[in-house]
Amino acid sequence: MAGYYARRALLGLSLVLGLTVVAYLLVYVAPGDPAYVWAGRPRGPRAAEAIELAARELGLDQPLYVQVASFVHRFLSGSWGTSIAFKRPVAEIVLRSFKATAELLLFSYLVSVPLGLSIGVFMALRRGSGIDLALKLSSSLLISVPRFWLAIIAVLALYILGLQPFGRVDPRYLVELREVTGFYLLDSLLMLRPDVFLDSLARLVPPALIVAAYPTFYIAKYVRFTLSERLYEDYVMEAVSLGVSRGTLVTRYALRGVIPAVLQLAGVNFVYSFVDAAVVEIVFMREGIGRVLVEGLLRSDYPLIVATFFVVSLVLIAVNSAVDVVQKRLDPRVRI
Amino acid sequence: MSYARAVRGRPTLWRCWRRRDFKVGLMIVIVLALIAALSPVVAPYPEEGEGLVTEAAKQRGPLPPSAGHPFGTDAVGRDVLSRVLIGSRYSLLQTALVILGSLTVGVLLGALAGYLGGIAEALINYFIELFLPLPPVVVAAALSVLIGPGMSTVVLSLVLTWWAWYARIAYVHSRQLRDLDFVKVSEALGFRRIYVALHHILPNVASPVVVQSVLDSASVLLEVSSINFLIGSVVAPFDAPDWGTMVGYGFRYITTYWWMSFFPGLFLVLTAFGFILIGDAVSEESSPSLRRRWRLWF
Amino acid sequence: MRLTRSLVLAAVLLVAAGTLAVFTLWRPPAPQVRLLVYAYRDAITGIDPSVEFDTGLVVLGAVYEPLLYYNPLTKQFEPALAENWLRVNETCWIFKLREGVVFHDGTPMTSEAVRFSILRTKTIYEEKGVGPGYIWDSVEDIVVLNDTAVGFKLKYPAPLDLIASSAYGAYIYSPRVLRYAGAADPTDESVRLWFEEGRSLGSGPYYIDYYDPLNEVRLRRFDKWWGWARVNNPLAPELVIIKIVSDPVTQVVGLRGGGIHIAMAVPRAEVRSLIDEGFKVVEQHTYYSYILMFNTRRWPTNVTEFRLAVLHAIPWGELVDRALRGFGIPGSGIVPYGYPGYVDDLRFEYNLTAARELLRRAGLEGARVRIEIVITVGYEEEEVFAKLLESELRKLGIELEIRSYPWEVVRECGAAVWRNPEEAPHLIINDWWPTYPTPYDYLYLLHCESREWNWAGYCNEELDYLLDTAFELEGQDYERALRLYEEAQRLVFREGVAAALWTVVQPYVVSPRVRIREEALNPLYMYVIRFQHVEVP
Repeated sequence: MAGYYARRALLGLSLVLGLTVVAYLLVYVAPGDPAYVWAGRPRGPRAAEAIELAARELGLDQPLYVQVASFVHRFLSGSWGTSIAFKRPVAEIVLRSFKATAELLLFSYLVSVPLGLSIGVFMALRRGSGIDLALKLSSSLLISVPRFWLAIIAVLALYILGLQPFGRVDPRYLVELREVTGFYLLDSLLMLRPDVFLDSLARLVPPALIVAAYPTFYIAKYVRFTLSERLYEDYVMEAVSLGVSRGTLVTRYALRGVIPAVLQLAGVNFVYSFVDAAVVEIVFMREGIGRVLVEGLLRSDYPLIVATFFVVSLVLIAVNSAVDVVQKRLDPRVRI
Repeated sequence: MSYARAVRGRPTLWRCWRRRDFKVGLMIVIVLALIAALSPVVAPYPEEGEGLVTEAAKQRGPLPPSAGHPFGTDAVGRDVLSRVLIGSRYSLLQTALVILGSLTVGVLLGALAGYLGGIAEALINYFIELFLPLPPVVVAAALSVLIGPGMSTVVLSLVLTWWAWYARIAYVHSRQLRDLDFVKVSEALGFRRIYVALHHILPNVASPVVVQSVLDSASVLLEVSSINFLIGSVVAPFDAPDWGTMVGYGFRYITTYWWMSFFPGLFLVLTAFGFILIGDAVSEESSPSLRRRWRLWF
Repeated sequence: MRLTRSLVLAAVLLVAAGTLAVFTLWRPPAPQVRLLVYAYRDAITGIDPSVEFDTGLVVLGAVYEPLLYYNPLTKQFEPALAENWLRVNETCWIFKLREGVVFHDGTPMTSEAVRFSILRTKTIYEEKGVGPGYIWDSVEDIVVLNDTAVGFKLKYPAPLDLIASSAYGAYIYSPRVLRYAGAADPTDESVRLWFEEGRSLGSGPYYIDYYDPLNEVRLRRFDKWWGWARVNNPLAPELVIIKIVSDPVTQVVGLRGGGIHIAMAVPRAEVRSLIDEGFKVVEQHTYYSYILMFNTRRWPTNVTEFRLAVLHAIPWGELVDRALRGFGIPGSGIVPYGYPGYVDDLRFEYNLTAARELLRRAGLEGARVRIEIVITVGYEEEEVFAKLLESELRKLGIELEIRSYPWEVVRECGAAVWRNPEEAPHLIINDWWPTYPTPYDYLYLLHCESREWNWAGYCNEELDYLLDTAFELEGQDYERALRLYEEAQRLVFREGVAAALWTVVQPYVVSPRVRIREEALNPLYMYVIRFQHVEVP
C-alpha cells in the first residue's frame, strides 16, 4: 500500500516536471526568436532591450538543458514572468482567475457525481422500462448539446425571466467583499453575510448546472451500463436465491466496484469540463480562466498563455493523482 | 485468438443494425455526410455559403427566418441555411481528421508500448499520462501563437491531447496479447518483432480502439466546436463556416439576430446526437452480458 | 439509545431549518452608495500616467488632470490645473497654477510636481522609447518660478497649450511617488510597478480603490478635489466601477438588467431598440479613424494605378451604413472630421468602370491578381469592410484574401513592410486616435521616419518636407501650417497611398436613471467619461 502511494507520488512529481518541460518547449519552438515571442513581439525603440531581457530571462545563451533546468526552477518556484498585456505578475492574474473557475468546477462536480450516480442506478434497476428509455434518450441528448449553446440559451431564458445571472456577485456587494480565500461562497460565510452568500450562490448555480450537465449524464450512462452488467453476473443470482435484499445487493455488492470507476471517470472528464467552464464563464460574464485565455490571446500575451497552460494542466494532473489514490483505497486491486 | 474475435467488428455491427436507436443515429449521420458531400449543390446560395457577400446578400441585410431563408440571413445578409450546410463539411472534416490523427498515433504507440515492454513501455506510458490532462483549448491557444490561425491549429491541438486515450486502450489490449500463444509462436518461429507487431498485434488492438473512436466522435465534434466558439476568431481561419465559429460569431448578435447562432448550434446538437446514438448501440452490443434483453428478475 | 439518536436528529434538523430560515429571511439592505457602473470593452493595459498609451486612458482620465483641457469642437481651452497661461514668446511659456489643489495622498500640487511629472514622461520616452513622452519633444527645460508658476523653455516653437492638453502623457502627479516606491530615479522601473499595483497619485475627482485590469477598476470619490464646488453636482457618483465587459451582448443584457448604467460597446444593431425601451443614447463624435493603407513596396500595390483602382472599388456610399450601422462619418483624406486639418473634398467615389480603366492603365486588366488584407480580430466593422471589398474586387478579377489577427500581430504585419515587404500584406487597416490635437499625429503615419506606424512603407521626400515644415510652423503660424497639412493630404490622395475609411461616432447607451451632462465628454479623450459630471439619483 505505502509502496503504491510512493510510486504514485513519484509519477505525479515526474509528470509535473515533464509538464514544465513541455511548457518550455512551447516557448522554445516559437518561430523565429523565442525571446521575441516571450517579450510580446515588441517593436519600437525599446524592442531590442526587451528582447534581450527576455533572452536573459529564458537563458537562451546557455545550452538547452541548462535553459530547461532554469525554466523548471523558475516555474516551480512560482516566478512565471510578467504579463505583457497587463504588466502585472502572471502568477497573480492566473491564480486569481483560477480560483473563480475552481469555484464553478468544484460546485459542478459536487452536484454531478452524486446526481449522475443516482440517475445511473435508477436507470440500471429499471433497465428496459419506459422511464429508462426516456432517461437514456434525454441524457444522450443532453450530452450532445454543446455547453456554450446551452449557456447562451440559459442566459437568454433567465434574461427574459428578468433574472440577473451575470458575474460572480452583485457589484454592490463586491465593494464590501473581503477576499480571504477567493471563493466567494466561503468568503461571504466568513464575513457572516448570508445575503452575499445567497447572491453569489444564485449566480453560481445556473452556469454550474450547465457545466455539470456533461459529467452528470456521462456518469449516469456509465453507471447504467456497468451496473447492468454486474447485476447479471452469476453471484448476484446466487445472492438473490440466498435471500439478500435488493437494496443491500445494489449498494453493498454491485456498486462497490462501480464507484471507484465513476471517480476515475469524473477525474478524467475534469479536463473537458475545464474547457466547458472556460466557455460558460465567458457567456455568463464571470471572471475566470476563460477570460484570461481570450484576453491573453487577443494581446499575444505569451507568458500568460504558457502560465495558464501550466496551471490548468498541473491541477488536472493533481486531480487525476488524487482520484487514483482514492480509487486505490476503495479498490485495492488497482496497480500502476 | 478468441478474445480478439469477440471484439472484432462485424457481428457487433450486425446486431447493432437491428436496433432502432442505431438506425436513427446512422440515418442522421448519413444524411449529414450526404449534405456535406453535396452541399454546393444542395445549398440554396452556395456562393454565400462559401463566404462571399453577393450583391443580393448586400441588398437583403440581416433578415429573420422566412420561407425564402428558413434560417434567416446573417449580419451581412448571407443565407444562414447555406452557411450551415456548407459548414457541415468543415465541422465533419475537423472531427474526422482529429479522430484519424489520434487513432494513428494512439494505436501505433499504444500497441508498441504493450508489445515491446521495457523502456519503450515505460516511456510511452509516461507520455500518455503527461498528455492526457492537457486542456485542448489552452493547447490551441498556445499553438495559434506558434503556428498562426488555421484549421490545422485546431485539429493539431486536439490530436495532441486525444491520442493518449487511444494509446492507453491500445496499450492495455496489446499487453494482454503479448503473452498469448499465437504471438509467442510467431516469435518462436523467428519472425522479426516488427513483423509480429504489424501483423498480429496492430490489427487485433485496432478494433477496440476503433470502437472507442466511434463512441468518441460526438465528444470530438463538441470539443472542436467549443474551441472554435471560444477562441475561433483567433485560432480558426477567418470567416470559416464551422458551426462552433458561427455560433460564436452569432453570439455577438444574440439579442437581435438570434437565428445566427441558434441554427448552427441546432445542427451541432443533431450531429452529436446521431453520433451518440450510434455509440450507445455499439457499446451495448459489444458487451456480451448486456446483449440479453430481459428485465431484471428481482 | 434510540431516543438519544432521534433527539440528536431532531436537533440537527431544527438547526438546519433555522439556519435556512435565517438565510432566506434575513437580508440586510444592499449598501446605499451612489454607484455608477460603466461597462468598458477592453482590458486595462496599464495605469502609469507617464507610460500608459492605450486603454488605461479610461482610468487615467478620471484620476489625473492635465494643465489644460482642449475641446476641438468648440476650439476652446478649459483650465484644469493651470488657471492662466501666457506665451511670452515663440519659445517661452508660463503657466500659472491653480492654488489649493491637493493630490490623493494629501500633498499639495506645486510647480515642482508639474516639472517632475512632465520630465518623467519625457525622460522615459527618451531613455526607453516607451510611452507618449515624445509630445514634450520641443521642451528644453521646465523652470519652477515659484510654487504656483512654472515656465517652459522650448527648443523650437510649438503650440504648448495644445500639447499640455494632450490625452496621453500630460498628467500631473505627486513627486512623492519616488518615496512611496522607494526609488531614487524617476525612470526607475519600481515607480511604474508601484502605479501598476493599482495606486493613484493624481489630483482628479476620483482615486483608484481597487484595480484588476482584466475585470474591473473601482474608483472612489476624492472629496478634497478642488472642483466639486464648481461642478455643482450633488448627484455625482461616490463609487464608480469601470467594469470590463468585452462581450457586446453582455453589455446589453447588463443594461437591461440594471447591472450596468453606461455601456460603450453595445452592438450597433441594438441601439435603436434600446432607445425604444427608454434608454438614452449619447452620441459622441470621436477622432477614432480607420485608415486603409497600401503596401507600397510590394507588387501590385506599388503601382499607383492599381491602388487607385482598389480605392475606386470600395463602396464608399454604403460603407458607414453597413460597417458601422450609421454610427460614423465617411472619411476624407487622412485627418478625421472636426479635427484641425480636416479637408472635406478628398473622397474617392465608388466607380467600377473607372477602376477597370485604371487597371487597364496599370496593365493588369483581366489578369488574375491575388492580394491580401490584414484586419484585427473581433473588429466587426473591419470584418464587414473586408467582406464587402472582397466581393467588389472579385468583380474586377482581383482575389482578396482576408486574414484576421490579434492586434499585436497586426501591428507586426504592418511594420514588416520595412523589413520584408513581401511578407507584409498588401492592404492593412490602421485604427488610430490622437494624442494631442495636431494633424501631424495622423499624417505622421505616412512619414518616412515612422518605421513603426507607416505600414504603407511609403517614403516621399516631398511629403516629409511638407509635414516637417508644417509641424515647425505650428508654433508660429498655425494657419499656414494647416494649409501645408492640406497640401500633404492632397498629395497622399493623388498617390492613393492611404485613405481614411471612416471616423467612428460613439454611442453611449445610458440607463434612464442616469444623466450624462454635456461636459462629461470630450472627443479628444477616447471613452473617458468625466464622472463628476454624471448624475446618479
